[in-house]
Amino acid sequence: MNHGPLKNRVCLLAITAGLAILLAGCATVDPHPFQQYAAAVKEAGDGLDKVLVQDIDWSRDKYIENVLDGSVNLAHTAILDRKSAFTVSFPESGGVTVKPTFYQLQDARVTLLNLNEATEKYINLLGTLAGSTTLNPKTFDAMAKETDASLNSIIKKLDAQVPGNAVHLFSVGSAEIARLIIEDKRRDALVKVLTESQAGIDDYCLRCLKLLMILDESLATDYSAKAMVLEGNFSKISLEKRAVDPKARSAVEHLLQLNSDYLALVHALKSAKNIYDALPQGHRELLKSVQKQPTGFEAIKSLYEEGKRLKSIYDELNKPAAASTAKG
Amino acid sequence: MTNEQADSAFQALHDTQRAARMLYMDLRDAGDAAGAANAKLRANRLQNEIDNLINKELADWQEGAENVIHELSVAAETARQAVAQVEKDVKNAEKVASAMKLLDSAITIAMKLLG
Repeated sequence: MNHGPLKNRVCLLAITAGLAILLAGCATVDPHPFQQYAAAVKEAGDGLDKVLVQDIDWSRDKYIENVLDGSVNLAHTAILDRKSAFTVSFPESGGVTVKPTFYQLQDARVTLLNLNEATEKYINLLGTLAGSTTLNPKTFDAMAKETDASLNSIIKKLDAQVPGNAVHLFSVGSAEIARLIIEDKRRDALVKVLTESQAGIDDYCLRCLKLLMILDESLATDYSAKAMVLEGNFSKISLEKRAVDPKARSAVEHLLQLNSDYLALVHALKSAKNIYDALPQGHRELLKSVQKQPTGFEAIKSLYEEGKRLKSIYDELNKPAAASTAKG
Repeated sequence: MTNEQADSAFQALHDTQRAARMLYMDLRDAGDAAGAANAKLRANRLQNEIDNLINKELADWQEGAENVIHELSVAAETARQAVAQVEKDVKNAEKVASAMKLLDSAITIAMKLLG
């Protein structure tokens, strides 16, 4: 009695089952949390920059108002001086360099842009490692096809009756094993990078939280200065004329719009604060997920939601009505 | 100066300045020009102190942030090297596929023997 075809089938099914178990046991890195994390970092960085830009504008207005009302001396704060070759300084008063705040904010913005650029570069590389973009899918397709052809040749030679489903699994088997080897390397690399970079992310978030605090203070003082100017314009119009003088109504309208802008900016700052508070924990969750430790991705989920919220706040702020009142 | 200390200092200055400004507006509306001018002068002095505090905070922030940029650049470079390493392993994977093909041949022979 010839048991050949049966033995062939048993042999192929055994290999197929082995591969299936192997594949099931080695799930790939889930790129989704990495994508959400990258999106939140981007939104937080963009949001912080947008608030900074607005505050530079307000701070500059405040400086001009202070010069105009005589509380700041133009000559002592705005006439630059060449100190040495290629070095220009702001004026000094009592040995201290007097540099209007909006210039400091402009400098801080350049630093923030560099800071965000460095962070985004890092986060994007994490995403590349977690995703499948570093691997050329064509390479694996070619491998699968080659293996497929090889198996087909076996089947032809032996005239074996192999179930279609088993052929499918087996034919991609070698490519999948190759892929798993890469996945293991990818996982090892991610664990190393995430572990070593945790301190950097912690520092980055602390710096951004500090800047948020400074911006909150700066916005408060710049808002007050602008509000005082509008209130001053309003108070100059006598009580009897206010009802009919369009300037009086305009001053009130501008103050109300200024309030809306200020509230939205503070809202944006608070939202950015929530993001920077949660980013270090989100980074730890990424490491846990790569190490297959249990994580519900709570921080990453809330980061992603907060990022979307922040974007909607500054999208609202960027609408023309808001922009026009910044000069109010 | 910690974040909290700096913010407490700011809050104290801000509260005092707000009080000076409210006083200025009340005195002005009451027709006390001299009193209003005095209050305004104090509010302006406080503004100067607030600006100095914010400028100092910004200068300190920038100094610290420069160090973090370096730290993050090192992290990005480590990640870039890791990506490059994984890309190199694609070639190793091709070797695995070649080995698999050899294994296929061995299976062919084995199956012939079994048959």
